Amino acid sequence: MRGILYIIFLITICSCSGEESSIGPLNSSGAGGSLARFTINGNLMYVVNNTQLKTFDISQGNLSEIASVDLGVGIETIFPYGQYLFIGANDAVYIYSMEEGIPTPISTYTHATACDPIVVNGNYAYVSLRVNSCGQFTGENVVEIIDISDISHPVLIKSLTDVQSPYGLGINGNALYVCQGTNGLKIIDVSDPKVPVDINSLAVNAYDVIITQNRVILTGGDGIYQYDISNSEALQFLSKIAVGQK
Amino acid sequence: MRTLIFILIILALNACYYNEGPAEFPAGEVMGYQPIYATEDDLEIAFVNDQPIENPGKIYIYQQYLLINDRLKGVHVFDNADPKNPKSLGFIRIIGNVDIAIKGFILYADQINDLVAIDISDIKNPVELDRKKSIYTYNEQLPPQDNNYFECVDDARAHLLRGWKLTQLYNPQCFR
Repeated sequence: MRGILYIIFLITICSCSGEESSIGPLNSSGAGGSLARFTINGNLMYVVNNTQLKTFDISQGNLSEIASVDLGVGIETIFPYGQYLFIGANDAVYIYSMEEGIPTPISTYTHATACDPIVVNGNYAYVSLRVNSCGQFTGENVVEIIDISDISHPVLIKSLTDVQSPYGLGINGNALYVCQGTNGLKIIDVSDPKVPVDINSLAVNAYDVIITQNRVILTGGDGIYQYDISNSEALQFLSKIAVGQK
Repeated sequence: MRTLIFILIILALNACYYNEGPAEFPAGEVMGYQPIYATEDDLEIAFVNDQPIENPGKIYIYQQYLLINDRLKGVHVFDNADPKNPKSLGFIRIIGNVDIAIKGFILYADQINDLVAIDISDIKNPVELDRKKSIYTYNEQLPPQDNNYFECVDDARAHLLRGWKLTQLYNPQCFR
């Protein structure tokens, strides 16, 4: 009898964790989109762990915690834009203001369950939703374009369904870069976000991207690629640092 | 006693709701995840010779350098003054690291459950300035995949848990 009780007890305590199934830093299966755990704005550093948003003062070089806010479970990523913090969680995108230093909640966009980097440009936020992201089935592969011109009322204005397994996103002026894992990189003109137009695509493993000074740096499954884009969005190969290479 | 068992069974069923099926204990010999622990010494941040890139994560531009996180290992440092020909300078070993950010000449990095501030004014000589322990305390305690047996995390070494390996286990006591 004791044995049965023990077994039931073990099943109870050990299987509870199933529902959390979020991408953790130790879930390093291949090159996933980058998982941001903190971001810096001025002299303040914002750190997300699974449930909290913590604020550190870093003006003196050390880490001095000045605030901690409980957000619930399932926080995956954090992205700063202007005076706002976009926090991607399992159930929603939370928008906080950094205007007062210590973050204050502004609004919640519940349609998305965002595990992947969110990018923001001007009045629009872009969120990639991937089937099986966060280890849970989200239903479809889509990049959502959200109008945030009224930051307290984010509104979905367009779902880009013509994307495959979207991971990291990048924005360069009016060009949205969508990393599609093994399905390559896609570049979409979003100057009219309601009528996005495909510009270019590249057959390369693409998981994350940064765009800086006319250069695109791409994290692929097999290496880091650099391209020159000074000539519009036509990517000119510069170099590759291969996985396995010193 | 019957009532108690009944209640426990209901609890157990509820707990398993998100899993495909309840685990059976004792499990005997099964494949499952085993925790990999770092030692306290492993937490020391050091600049070492360049390493092959294994599992690239976050990338970061700092001055003329391109920094590439290698998941759970640290940061590759490349001189990227000529993007056509990035040159490897070495590797900042930060065991358990997945995210980095830089302000001024300070590199901020997570390390397992800690958050660390590192002076990189001389990039080949990183110096730890500050460390906040146990900022992160969540997924680290769970193996990467659902529906697997795993060896329960040793509480005394939970702060040193740096990964999991899939291996043959004997009567593991945990499941997710």
